[in-house]
Amino acid sequence: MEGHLEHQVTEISQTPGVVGVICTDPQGLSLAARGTLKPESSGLVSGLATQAASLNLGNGEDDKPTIVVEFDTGNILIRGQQNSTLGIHKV
Amino acid sequence: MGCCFSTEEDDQGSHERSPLLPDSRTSAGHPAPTSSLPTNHLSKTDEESALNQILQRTANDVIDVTYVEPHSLERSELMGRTREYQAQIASLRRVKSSSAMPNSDQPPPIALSRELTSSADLKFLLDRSEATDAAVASMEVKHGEALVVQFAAP
Amino acid sequence: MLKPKALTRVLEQANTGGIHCTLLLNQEGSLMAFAGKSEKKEHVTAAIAANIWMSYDKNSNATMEDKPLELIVLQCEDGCVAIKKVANLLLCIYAQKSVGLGLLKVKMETLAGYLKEPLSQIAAPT
Repeated sequence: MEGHLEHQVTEISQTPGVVGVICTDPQGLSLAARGTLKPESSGLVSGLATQAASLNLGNGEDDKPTIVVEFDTGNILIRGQQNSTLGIHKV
Repeated sequence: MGCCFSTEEDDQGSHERSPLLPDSRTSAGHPAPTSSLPTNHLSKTDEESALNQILQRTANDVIDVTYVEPHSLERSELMGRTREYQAQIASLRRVKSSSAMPNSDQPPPIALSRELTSSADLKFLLDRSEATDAAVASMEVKHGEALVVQFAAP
Repeated sequence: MLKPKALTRVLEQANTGGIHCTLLLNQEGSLMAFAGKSEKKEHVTAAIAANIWMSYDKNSNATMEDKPLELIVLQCEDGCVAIKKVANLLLCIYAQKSVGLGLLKVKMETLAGYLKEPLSQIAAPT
């Protein structure tokens, strides 16, 4: 049932430079997680996407923001979509 | 004790029926009336305690699912809990960052000279997020045969 | 009439990636269909799941202003469980702890969406 999703997430996690991937549902519940991004961070990732989207006033709900959280040890890139939010930890 | 009113006697005092050795079976030091048959007595209590153990274990293992009437909350209890939850939530909202710019202790040149996120990374994220979103949306049950058959009408 | 084999084949589609079993039960807790590795405990699981649903359903009626209960997700020490009402039956998915709650929810909703129509057909009119 979830084979397609698992395949996508595994493929992302095997991309050079990627050390962690997480996919959450719109309520912040974890759908799939790999590497450094643990299922426990699903709420935070989804929350960041939702909060960032709420800054975007007047441009319609379809305009989803991309969030980059910068650390000394790498970046976490987050992008919300209709049914899910994707977080990628890249070094 | 074997004689009448024996229980009213002074337990501490020694008398003709006091056991010379402390009896390990009876704590008060009184041999039970059936003490003439110690082995029988023992097996009887053993059996009884074994039965009690089985009963206890069974009682512990049983899950009474026939009781579907749940414990319903009293109105006052409900109001109390509501207040408690709201107080907790309100206290959480009061927690604010003390500084408007937390962790801004890096020297500006270092912070500003940091490499920007490359457009390749952003494109990768965008493409992949769209693909995963489509994968989530495409989750479905594979249709086999029909689940319901209608009885043929006469 | 429901086809038991076809029904089991639908239920077992959810049993991937850490899902132990999927059960369909009536509201009294009797097992109607089961897919997964049998551990001879599914009758007990079904009865407990139905009891949990009934308890929440009763209390939520009083507190949630008559908005019906939609889904229960429980995270336990040793696994997680999702329960949802489909037509007049209950669908229960029983999973190991590592399964993401979001995935559990999506699977539950996918299955429930698929089963809703056929199960409504056989539901006795009340």
